Order: sequence, then structure tokens, then C-alpha cells
Amino acid sequence: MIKKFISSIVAFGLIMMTSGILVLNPNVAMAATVTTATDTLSRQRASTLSNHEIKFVTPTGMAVSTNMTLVFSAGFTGVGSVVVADVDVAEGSTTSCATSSFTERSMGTGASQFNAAGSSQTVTITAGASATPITAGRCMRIRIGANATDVTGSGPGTIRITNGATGSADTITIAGSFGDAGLILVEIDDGDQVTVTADVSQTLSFDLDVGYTVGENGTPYIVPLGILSAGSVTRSNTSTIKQIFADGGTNASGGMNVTVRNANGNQGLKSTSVGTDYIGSTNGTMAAGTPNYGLCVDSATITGWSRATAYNTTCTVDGATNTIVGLSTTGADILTFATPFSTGHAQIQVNAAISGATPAHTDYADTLTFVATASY
Amino acid sequence: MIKKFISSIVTVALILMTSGILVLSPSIAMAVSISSASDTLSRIKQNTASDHTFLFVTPTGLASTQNMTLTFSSDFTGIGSMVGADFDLAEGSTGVCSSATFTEKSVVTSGATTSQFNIVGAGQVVTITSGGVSATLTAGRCIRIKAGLNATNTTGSGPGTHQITNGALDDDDNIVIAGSFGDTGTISVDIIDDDQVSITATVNQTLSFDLDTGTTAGENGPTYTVAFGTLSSSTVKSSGTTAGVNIIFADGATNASGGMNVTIRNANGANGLVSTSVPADKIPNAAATMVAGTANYGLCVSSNGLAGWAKAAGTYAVGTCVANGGTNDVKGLTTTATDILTSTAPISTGHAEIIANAEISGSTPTHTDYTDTLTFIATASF
Repeated sequence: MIKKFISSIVAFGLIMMTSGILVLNPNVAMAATVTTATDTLSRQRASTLSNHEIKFVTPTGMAVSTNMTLVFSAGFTGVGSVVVADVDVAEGSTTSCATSSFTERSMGTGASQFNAAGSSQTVTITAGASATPITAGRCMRIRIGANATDVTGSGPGTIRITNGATGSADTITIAGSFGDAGLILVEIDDGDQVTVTADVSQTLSFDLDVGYTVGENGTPYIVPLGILSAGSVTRSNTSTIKQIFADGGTNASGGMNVTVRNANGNQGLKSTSVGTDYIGSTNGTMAAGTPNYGLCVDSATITGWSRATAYNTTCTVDGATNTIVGLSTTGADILTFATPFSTGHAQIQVNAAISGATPAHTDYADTLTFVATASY
Repeated sequence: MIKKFISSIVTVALILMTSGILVLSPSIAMAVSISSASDTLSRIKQNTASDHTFLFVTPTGLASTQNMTLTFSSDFTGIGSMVGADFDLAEGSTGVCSSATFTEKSVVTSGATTSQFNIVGAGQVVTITSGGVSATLTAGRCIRIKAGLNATNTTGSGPGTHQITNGALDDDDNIVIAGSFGDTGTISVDIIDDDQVSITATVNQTLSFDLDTGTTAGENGPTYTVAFGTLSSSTVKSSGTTAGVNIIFADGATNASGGMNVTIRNANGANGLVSTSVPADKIPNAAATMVAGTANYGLCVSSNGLAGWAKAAGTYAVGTCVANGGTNDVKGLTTTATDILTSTAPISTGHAEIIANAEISGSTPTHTDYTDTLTFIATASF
């Protein structure tokens, strides 16, 4: 009879279990499983220091005075060196790890803080007795390494954990008294970086033109100053006396300099027929009646280049009181720039003045030579 | 047998490589790039002879017997004519080309001693070769190489007499640096249609000349008159405020490269002031110092305010001459023009004060019509 009773109960139980009406649920006594669990490493290369950013949804949450263990598989090294400053713990605003905004917990040894410490292969995170708990169902973010930049309580972190060798199954196991459990598999590779190389050929372009307005024109380049007068300064303008236009570009890392030298040095414009008669060239501000001749660089229209230090003077197109720089037979910088530039443009103004005693000649002349040099 | 031998060699090599004893290191054969590299040409115009100044930092340096090559792209010509004298090689004191001071090395074409460098061009390549242990370039230093007429240093050889000629207008010109010294680099240069601008100007001729008469300077006239009034044998009359006799002011300017001369001639020559009514009566003119009671008449040029011009040498430049002066040294007048003011260069503000002087003796005939006419002519020499 008893046997029959027991047999009936067993038979009934089997029927109920197979029919799904009775389920012996093993989870009742087992931890809940975290979901949406990820560990994003900063480097996946074998034997390389790496940060870890671990995210998962905790069904249970993390109550006060509970702990969570992150057990790194055997290949990882340096786990035991992790200190609280190397760990950030944050709670997401929702259950979605992808869209949550995270609120950092204060990290430290105080009762109101979360503590963290590494030992052997395990990082243990403990919620203090009066710490703000992690809400059940929220996404939880744990950063370990130099990415633990939050300094609430402690921080920032430094990289401590080194990846193991390739070929093994590398995991981080989540457990602890907080009640949830999980496993995250990560991949350690032989190399996680690709070196990309490219060549850029050297470029250097330079061009001179002369004209009243900007534009291309052919050689020879001539600036006829015409008849000089003691009553006014003759200078480049937009209608009667040409300007000198310099255009260039280079990808040289040291940029490009342009030098200018003249044929007659400080004797400036010299009479071809009477070589002892000349209109000198010296630093100074042009003035009617005072013989002088030289160049300046318009400050308003220069692009790409900078004016050489000596040429940082008052200079405008058709400027009656331009301050010029004396010319020399050895090259001196007129335009400079210490880094690459693609579209350099400068407008160089020619200026000349005479006194009443400047000898009459129709053949005053000088030759300017411009040389562009890039520094690679 | 051969197969077995080769197999053994391969096996041993593999064992050595896998054990780390034998490493085929790619670094051994890799070149290091020069830095801060530039080539400054004296001319960047196409088809034009040019000097070159190379600057660059050599990470490796150049050791004994090593060489360095500078390969000019195909457009450049004349490289094969370059010899040791056409090059200067210098090592900077630092690795900063812009501020280093450079020490020249001894350079020859061939047969370098252990402290010299051979440098010579062939084809498109300039080769610099260390002659030995004392001919080296220090790693990390800026190196300067001059090629052409700018190679003026004569240590070993020099100065340079050959230049390298630029090629045609294009965008593919460069100089490649390589050689056994281990560094490499490329320097691009831009050859353009023209690198020169001619500046021309004209200064027109100018000449101005003006006379005025008065006891003080100022514009007046014409007619220009110097009236001595009544002469006395006891007092020399001279231009100035004392006697109220006009000074003759001459002003002028010219940009004539040969300056401007002013000549004077008078109507009566040595007869000086002649009576219009009785021409035989005169107050003569002779070069002399004016003296009271001695009949004489003439001009001199004061130094007061004299500018631009000089007094004519040998005549008006000699002796005393002041306004209101009683003992001025006057000069002989003639009916042919004679220089009174001269210059040999342009004058912007010429000014001269000409003093007239007259005196009579007790026997000078009385007349109210003693007269002479002075004519001044200014001539510029362009």
C-alpha cells in the first residue's frame, strides 16, 4: 500500500514535470545571471597592458555591504596590483548599457564608498555599509586601469592589468555576495594594431609677376618707375607703377623663405651711362625730396608667407610714406614661413624718390633677384 | 650529396634563427633620413648657371672612407665638370642649421689624405668621399655643402670656377642625398621662368638760375641795379647796408651731373665804370685790394650764405670779401665771360652774394653818369 502510494506520487510527479506543470527550478538557489555583459579592452594584443571597461545589467543590484568579484583568467597578470584608485564604478540611468548615462560612485575605504582591490586574479568591489547601492536592473559600468579617470573619492587610475598570451580562453568571471553571476569571454590577439604608411612627395612652387593688379604675366619682369620727381615719392600703385607679385607654396616641414638681392647694393638705382650717379638704397621712410630707393611688402595683402622681420614696416599700395628696407648684393630674407603652406601671396612695393640734386639720366636701373628655398 | 649539404645548411640556419642566435635584422640595411634639408640656389631661373648651398642635419654622420652622393635630377647640367675646387664642405657646431657656426673641411678632387675629402662630379652625381680617419662628419650636426662660385674657401682647393646650370621650367627638379654614410634625403627645388625683376627710372634734367639785387636777400626786379651813388676818395663803397649799395644775389639749382657754372662779363672790360658822356673818363677795374683814395671798381664773392656753388678757383676764391667791406679783394672784369661761380656736381639750392666795390682818387673826373653793365650766364653740364 505504501509502495503503491509512493509509486503513485512519483508517477504523478513525473507526469506533472513532463507536462511542465511542475518545474524543479534550479535558479531558486542559484545566482541571477548578468545580461548584456561586455568587457572592452583598450588593447587586445598579447602581453600588453590594457584598460578594461566592463558593462552588464545586474538583475539583483548591489546592496550595501555586499561584494562583487571579477576573476580574471590565469593569463592576465597584474590583477593583484589593482588598487581602489584604478577602479571606477558607475550606475547607468536605465537597463540599456548602450544608452544609459552613468553616475559614478565614490571610490574609497569609507562606509559611504565603494572599495576595490586586487588580489591574485581577483578584483573585489565592496559596497560600504552606507554606500549608495546599485539599483537592481540597471546597467553597471566598471572601469579598471588608466580609463578610471573619475576622481570621486580616489583616482585617476593607471594601467595595471596585462593581457596574457594568445591561444587561451581568456575570461572575466563575475560573482560575489551581491547575488549575480556571469562570464565574459575576451580575445587576446597576436597583434591588434595595423601600421598604415604613406608617402607625400615634396612640393615647391614659386612664381614672380609684375603688374598693376594681381595676374599672371610673362618674362621679362620689369618695373619702369618712369620720370622721378623731387616733389613726390614714386611708388608702386594700381595704375601707373607696377607692383611685384610673389606666389608660392610648399609642403616642406620647415616652410619656405624667399630672399632678395639687387645688382647695385646700397647704390640702388644706378645710371648705366655714368656709374657714379645713383639713387641710393637705405632703410628709411620715403619722403619727397630725399633720395632713396627700395622695397617693402604690403601688409594688407600678404597671405601664406610672413614678412621677414626687417620688412615688418609700414607699407601699403601707393603709400607715399612707406618704410623701405635697404637692398644689398647678398641675399636677405624678404618673405619667410616656417611651416608648410599652400597658397603664399605677397605684393612687393617699389619705392623711389630723388632730390633736386639727383643727376639727370634716362638710364637709372637696378636688377632684383628673388630666390625661394624650402627647408625639408 | 649536394642536396644533403644544402639541407644541412638550411636546417642549421633555421635552428639558429629560431633560437635567436641568428637574427636577420632589417634595421641594418635601413637608411636614416636627413632633416632640416634645404638647397639655396643663387639663381632659380631656367637654363641659368647657379650656385648651390646645401644644408641638412645628418643623423648618422660620415665615417672614415665612407661616401655621400648628391644626385641632381636629369635637367641639371654641368655637374660632370665640377671638381674639388668647386665645392666647400663644412660641419656645423650644432644640429641647428640656422644658428650653427661652420668649420670648413679640406677638399680636393682626388688623392685625399686621411684628413681630406675627395669631391668630384660625374654624370648627374657629386660624390663626397672621406680620405680616412681624420676626414669625418659628426652625427647629429648640420652639414653645409657649397657648390659653384660660392665655394670660396680654399682649404685644400678652391675657389670654385664652375657652376651647375638649371634645367628647363618644370616641377620635377630635386637633389637626392645618399651614399654609404647611411643617411638619405631628397630636396626639391623649383626652377621658374625668371627670378629677376628689372627696375628702371628716369630723372629729367633740371636747371634754374635767378638774379636779384638788394641790401638784403629777397626776390625783386627786374631791372637789377647796383647804384653806388656819389663816390668819395676817402671811403671805399661796398655793397651792404652801410652804404646802401645793393648786393647781387645769385640763386640756382640743377641736377646736371657736371653741375652748373656762372660766368660774368662786363660791358667795359678793364675800363670799369665809364662816363657815358665822356667815355675817356673812367673808374678802372683791376684785380686788387680796395683802398681809399685809389680809383678802382670790381666784384668779389662773399662767403656769407654761399651754398651749392664754389667761388671760381684762382680768382674769386682768393682774398677778402664781405658786405660793407672797405678792403675787399676785387677781381678783374673782362668783356668775355669768366667763371665767377662753379660747381662740378648737381646743386639743389645754390646761393651766392656778390659784392660790388668802387673807389675814386682825388683826380677822378666828375660825372654823374659812370656806368657799367654786368652780364651773368649760368650753364649746366649734363
